[in-house]
Amino acid sequence: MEALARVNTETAIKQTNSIELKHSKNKVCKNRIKMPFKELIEHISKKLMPYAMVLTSNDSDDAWDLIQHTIEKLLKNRETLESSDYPMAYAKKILKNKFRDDYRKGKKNLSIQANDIEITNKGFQEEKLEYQKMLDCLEAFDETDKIILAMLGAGHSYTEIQEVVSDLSMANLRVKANRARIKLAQCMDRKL
Amino acid sequence: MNEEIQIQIIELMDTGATIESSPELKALVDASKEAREFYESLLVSESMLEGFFSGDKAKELNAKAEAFINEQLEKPSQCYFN
Repeated sequence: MEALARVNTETAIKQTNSIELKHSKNKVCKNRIKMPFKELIEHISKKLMPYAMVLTSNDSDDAWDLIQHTIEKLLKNRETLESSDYPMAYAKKILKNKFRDDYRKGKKNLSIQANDIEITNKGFQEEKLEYQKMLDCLEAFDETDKIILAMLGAGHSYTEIQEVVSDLSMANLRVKANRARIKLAQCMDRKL
Repeated sequence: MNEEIQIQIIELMDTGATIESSPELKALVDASKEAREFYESLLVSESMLEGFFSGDKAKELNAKAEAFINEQLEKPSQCYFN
């Protein structure tokens, strides 16, 4: 009887633990099975980096501020992120809101000439000016086109881009990307 | 030059074609002055995009973000190690 009681107790404990564990996974860390939290955050920050760079017009300090703020918020709101069906959209919104707040305060989005590092080397200067021409062209694009072009430049696949611009089908994304690439080439041609 | 030809050029380039390696792309580019100019502008703009968004600055920012994430996650977590 004692042995039986011990077995029953052990079984009961096992069952309790497994329920708690299951509950924990489903309620607290919903996306954990799909992607560990650290990987999820790294994945998001890599995908949003081109967007931050294009928003801040070549100012790496400002781009870093946006990314750092976004990561901090995501870490702080971990449960919301992990339970979200659209974690990328959630992160993108944080980044965009931060940019808007800073922009309203008038401290961000200055041009390269105004706030970037001192230009001394001639070759370096020419390269910076070429980048500035591209960024000037990009200013005329809508936000989705900017993200698409920036992410293509960063080497992301169309599947990865679709994750960030979530409201487009793959076919529409490719059409939009091709048109944006044509528009950028034409704009650069006029500026060169 | 119509958009259809421009898209054909882009799609061929996406497969890795160059005017040296692809007779089809060469034919499209050689078909008109506009096509040639478009092709050359596209090479420049694509190279600029890659140089800017995959360049040293982007790499530096990505490395910084990775280090920051590692540093932050070293702190005790509420659920990751459950």
